[in-house]
Amino acid sequence: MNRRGLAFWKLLQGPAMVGLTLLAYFWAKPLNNGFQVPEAARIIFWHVPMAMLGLLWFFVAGYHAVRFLFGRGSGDLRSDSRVSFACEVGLACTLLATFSGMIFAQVQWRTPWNWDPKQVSILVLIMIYVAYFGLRMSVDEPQLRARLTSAYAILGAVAAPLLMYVVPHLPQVQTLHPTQVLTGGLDSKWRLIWMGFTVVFLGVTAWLFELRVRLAALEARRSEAGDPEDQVVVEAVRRPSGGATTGAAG
Amino acid sequence: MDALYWVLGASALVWGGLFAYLIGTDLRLRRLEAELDREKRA
Repeated sequence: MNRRGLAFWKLLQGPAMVGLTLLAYFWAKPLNNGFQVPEAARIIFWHVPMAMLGLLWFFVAGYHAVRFLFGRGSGDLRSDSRVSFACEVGLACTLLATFSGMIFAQVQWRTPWNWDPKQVSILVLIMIYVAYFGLRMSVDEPQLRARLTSAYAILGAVAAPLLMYVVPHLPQVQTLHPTQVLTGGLDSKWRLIWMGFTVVFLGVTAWLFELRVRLAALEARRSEAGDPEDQVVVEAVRRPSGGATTGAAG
Repeated sequence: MDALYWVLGASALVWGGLFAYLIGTDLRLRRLEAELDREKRA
């Protein structure tokens, strides 16, 4: 990391976002294949990457949960913090995907919520991850909380792709969701802009995640340096000093 | 065309605000990290 200023990949994101937004409105022509309002097809540029990134961050949470429970540094509460931060980012992306989808549904089908299988499954996914934070808040002992929520986050990471991509596409399930537009109805301009937005949104969410991790590390360092007001925070992020409290993690 | 300018203006506000927050927070964290490094060395 560049210690004197912001890393290059962070500096690039602002101009990339401006460029992609201008391309989305002035270069990509509105789509006519199945959209009531062709202009509304541009929701693809924001809604689809958000749904994909929500899933990705739930996988990241699952990865850190596996590391916490079974990895070499099992019992390290820093991994538990990363599970929580990744779930926060994933939940934010999933909520944004849901709200942007509701705006599109209002334009396309005259109602923001029509109990489409895709909407129901993403609602269930949101409830699963809201419950994750409920579980975190309900247990005070850090190691027990970390073990329980890590196991939950692994189950969530398994459930997320099933809910978002398997259940709504079962042959028995009828959906209004225009998936076929993505799989075959986009020209090269649309694909390029869509992929560009996905990369930039990934960068923004990775930046948010990195800031949360650095903030937690900083609070732990301040507390270790003797600042008493951070004692509660450090309890949640610091590695346990002895093996006694970590035994059940493996 | 008016609607397009509203959308672009709203995008500029939202993304401008988010990037200002990200850059500001990142630089502030960097400054605090550097302060702690200096204290540790001293």
